[in-house]
Amino acid sequence: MAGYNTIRGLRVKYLSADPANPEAGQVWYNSTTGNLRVDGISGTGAWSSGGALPAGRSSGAGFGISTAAVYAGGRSTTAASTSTFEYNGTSWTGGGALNTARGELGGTTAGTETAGLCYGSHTNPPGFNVSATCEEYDGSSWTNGNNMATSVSFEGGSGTQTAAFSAGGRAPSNTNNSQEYDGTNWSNGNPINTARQSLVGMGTQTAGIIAGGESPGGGSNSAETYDGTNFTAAPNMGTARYRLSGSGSVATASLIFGGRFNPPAADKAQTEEFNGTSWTEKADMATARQQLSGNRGTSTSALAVGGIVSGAVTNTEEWNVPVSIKNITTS
Amino acid sequence: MALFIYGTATNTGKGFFTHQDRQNFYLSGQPANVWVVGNNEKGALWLAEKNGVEKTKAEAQALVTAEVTAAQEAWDALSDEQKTISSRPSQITLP
Repeated sequence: MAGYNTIRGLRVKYLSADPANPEAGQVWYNSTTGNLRVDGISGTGAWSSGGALPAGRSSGAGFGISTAAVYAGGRSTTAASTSTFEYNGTSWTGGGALNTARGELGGTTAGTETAGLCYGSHTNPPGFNVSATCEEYDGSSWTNGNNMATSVSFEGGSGTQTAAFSAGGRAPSNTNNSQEYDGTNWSNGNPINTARQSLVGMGTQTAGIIAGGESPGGGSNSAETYDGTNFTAAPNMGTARYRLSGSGSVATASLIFGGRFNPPAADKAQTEEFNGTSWTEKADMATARQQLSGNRGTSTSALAVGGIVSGAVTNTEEWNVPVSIKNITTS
Repeated sequence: MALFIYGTATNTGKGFFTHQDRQNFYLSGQPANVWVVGNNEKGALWLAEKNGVEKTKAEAQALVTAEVTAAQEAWDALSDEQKTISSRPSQITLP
């Protein structure tokens, strides 16, 4: 039988104590306790409460990682907002104001806390006009970018500030439109396979995924992957829904959560993970809601922010899959 | 024994319910600050530690129904245009 040093090309270190900052997959022998140890064993994921938004919001844009996230725009009941809130992993504080008040941003957009992007939306009434405007965030203020190629709201989108995509949405009815942003200009791309609105997008401009959404037939469980040129049907989610959100800077390790489905009309708390091959149901959020926002986190660290329960809420929930050190039992 | 405890408590944000809490007992947040908690020792302790006020299922359901009804009335009063960007809140039946 091959030994560890043959398989890994490394010898197991004998240490008197566990190392301070072990790497995932690192193996060592703790000579004090007499245990063979390994780091990087994933535990069970669950949602816990995070800091509350300063004000109830729904349909805003979320981006950044879970300890440096941004929530921008959104609605407080009926009025679209210019507000930006920044999250440090514990609490939300005010950031720079958007130049244009906007709601129905699609939940998750693109970028990091210091290089973010939001695009599309509905403007304030009267009119509820679908908007093509785009703004870039530098961590303190918003700057208008060039308009999208097609006005859209309730879109799915993801990527970075210099390489983002938008898919589906309202324009002003359900659309199969897709668009790409190169950091300067938007251009229309190939259509998605199923026209829909209120979907979610994750991943990158060249390896993305869209999931869920609302079509005339109701909530959808379909997903499509994006390779930067074409959208291709992917495995269906377990639970059909729209006005959901998600988290995933990488499409093959992404998470979707919340949303709504009808009939019967009901908000959802369910969470599902996509690993590139299939969807797996995970633990529910504590509070079912729709029109919530996510961030550009991962399938092991995500935020669910705001949304509508009976009205716009301030709730933040944090998804975390703990990684720990375990003893290895040999026989 | 009933499966759930019902109560009201104000969500104070970070730490109000933890990853470990979610492993220890069922927890579901509802409108009107109503919480449905798994009926075990850890669930009961959590509600007590959060200064929760225990309710009967009927009392909790009445609170939820009243808040959703008020939200439905507010939604019904919106313009047709405004109604296109949100859904009429649905009544919730507590488990």
